[in-house]
Amino acid sequence: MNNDLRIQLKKLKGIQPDPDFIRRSKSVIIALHPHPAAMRFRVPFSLFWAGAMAVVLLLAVVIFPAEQSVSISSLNPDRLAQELNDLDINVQLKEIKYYQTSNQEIALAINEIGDTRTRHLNSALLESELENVETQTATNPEIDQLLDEVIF
Amino acid sequence: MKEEESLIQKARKGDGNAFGKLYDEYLPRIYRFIFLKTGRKQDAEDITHQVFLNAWQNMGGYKSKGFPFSSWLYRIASNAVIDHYRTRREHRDIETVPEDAVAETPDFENRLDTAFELELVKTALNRLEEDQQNILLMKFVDELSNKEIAEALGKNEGTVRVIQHRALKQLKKHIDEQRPQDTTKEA
Repeated sequence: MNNDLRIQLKKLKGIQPDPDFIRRSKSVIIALHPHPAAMRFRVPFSLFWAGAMAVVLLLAVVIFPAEQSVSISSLNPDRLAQELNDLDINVQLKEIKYYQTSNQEIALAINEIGDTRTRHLNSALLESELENVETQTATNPEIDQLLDEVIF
Repeated sequence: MKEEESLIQKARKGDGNAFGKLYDEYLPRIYRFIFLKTGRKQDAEDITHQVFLNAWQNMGGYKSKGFPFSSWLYRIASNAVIDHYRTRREHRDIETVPEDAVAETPDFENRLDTAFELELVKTALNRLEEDQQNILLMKFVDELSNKEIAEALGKNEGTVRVIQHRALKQLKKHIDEQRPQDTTKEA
């Protein structure tokens, strides 16, 4: 029984990968960088140290000049004066705008006050409204009573 | 064996050609092992590629400890298959056995019979437990020794022998269950 099975199992050995797959997979794997552990042992320590120094210098060259140029440009008197002038102009422009709008509003208010034809200041209208107000009708009798006590 | 040891040492130092020779030597059996466990050509190719890529990237940490290089590769392959099923839980239907597997048989009827028998075996194999599958494939398809199998699977040799015995019995049972009844006898 087991011998038959073993023979059957051995026949599965006929299963083979696709040659195209073998070629592609192998070329991709081999083309990749060798394992990191191997690289660590292959690079001499002195070379590693020199490389580290080179990286530090490169960073210094890239970073520090940039910072210097920023600080110098920010302290340049001409540039500061220019910024200050720009600031004044901005303030003045805002003030002009404010005055323009406020003057218009003031002028409108004066005109309205001086105009007797204005509807809400019309004396005839006010008198007619007064007639409609029921001043004799107390909404709260207690208040009237208290007021009488205080006044009289 | 000495030649393989030399290739391993070179590969550990990053020699791509040396690793390429190890790849050529072990790819077919690792592929076959994975294919019989996944049942799909595409999955088998993807996982096999990943196994050798992992091996290449971890060669620096490889120590033989008296065991063959194949045990290490089988261990990576076995873990890769487990990871594959962990991430893709869906069940895959088993593909038919490739024609190459039956190409040696001379006539068409024999080829059909053989393909049918192999399909039965493959389907029955896939119904076995993980360890049983691994041990049968390593032992009878790839002809590894019990010691090599034990190393690859992290078990002792006695356990491997017991699992192997149970696996064969179980495989026989599954095959008998799948095999259609012989109707000619009844007639």
